[in-house]
Amino acid sequence: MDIVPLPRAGIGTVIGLMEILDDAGGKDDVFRLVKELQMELDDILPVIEAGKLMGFLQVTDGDLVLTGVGRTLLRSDINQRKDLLWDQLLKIKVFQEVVEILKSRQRLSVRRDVFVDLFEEKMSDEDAAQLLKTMVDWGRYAELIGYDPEEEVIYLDTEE
Amino acid sequence: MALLDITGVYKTYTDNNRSITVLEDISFSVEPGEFVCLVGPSGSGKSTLLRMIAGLDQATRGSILYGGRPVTEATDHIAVVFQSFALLPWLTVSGNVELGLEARGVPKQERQQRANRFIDKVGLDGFEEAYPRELSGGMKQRVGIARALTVEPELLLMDEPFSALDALTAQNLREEVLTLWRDETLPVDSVVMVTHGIEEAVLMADRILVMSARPGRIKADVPVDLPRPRNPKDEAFSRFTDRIYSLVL
Repeated sequence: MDIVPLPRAGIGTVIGLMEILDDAGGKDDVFRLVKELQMELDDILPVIEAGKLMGFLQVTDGDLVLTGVGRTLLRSDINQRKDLLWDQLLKIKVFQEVVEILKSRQRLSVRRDVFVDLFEEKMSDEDAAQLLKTMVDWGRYAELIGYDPEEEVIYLDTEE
Repeated sequence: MALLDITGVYKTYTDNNRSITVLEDISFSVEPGEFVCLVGPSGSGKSTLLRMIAGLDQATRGSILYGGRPVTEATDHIAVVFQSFALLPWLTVSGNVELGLEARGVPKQERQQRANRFIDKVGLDGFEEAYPRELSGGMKQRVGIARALTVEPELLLMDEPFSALDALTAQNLREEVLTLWRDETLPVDSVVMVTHGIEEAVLMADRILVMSARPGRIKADVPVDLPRPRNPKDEAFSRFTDRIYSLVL
């Protein structure tokens, strides 16, 4: 399994950053933004990385720019945004791998520990646990994957 | 008729022959469809006023009328969203959202259906079985908002709903609250929001009530005549924000 940690950023922070960029005409200088938002670089960088990974942002010559699909997301309602994110997450390697594993199981579900153990082969225990947490957060929002905290089971979200 | 009519309201706390007046002669009304923000320094009594409107506290003097009737206790028509989310940690997202309906004795199937509608509206589909400990601040506040909407209030009261969130999450949720307020399929007609963020008030409100330091009085009642959607980068927005700042100081 070819996996690396995901940036530690929630969907809400990514969309918030996109909205601020949109107010600036779709493009702004990264360091000017950091100053305006009074954020530390360490706090905003994961958000930018997450936005890039999702395909909603790109960085060009020190400027942060909204992509076409990013603009489309901002013009969409909540459920359309989830559909867009669903499409974008399936372009990310670790989501592809996890979804394949889930699809291969009869109940389309796997115990959480199984994924954490798999991830720990490639990274630290802490990073592995965080990776799963971020995947569940993004995956739940996109209604791509679900997590049952009682049974500690990750499952493919097939509900319409 | 105004949705909310507040006339000559005072709030005084008395203890050991000492009395402190936190609100003095507060009078204003809120019309159907209005988004009103209360801004002012800490300690100006904004949150106290909100609690009284919600029926969670009583005025020492004066009247608070909702739909022409005195507010004496919590009512179905008014719901509150809190700064600190106020979620029950032992309940899932669904459980927290259904709470108000469960307290009213609404049967399980009906309250699940009603709750699911608002879980969908605020983008919490997929999180129904999550516990609050698994959620980010922004998601927790979405639960708070869904819980408030599920009782189908006409008036939504929000007490600094974004101040416990980071700047980016707050930005996202502000836009989503405006979208929910404008959604004609939802029963929420009017919003009264307490905030210490002037830019936030200018972004969201039809009217801004500027309160003084304690005892809190209404210093100014300012209609926000900027067209929507509003952009904080616009010159007119900056000028308006400066004007409100000058009224606060």
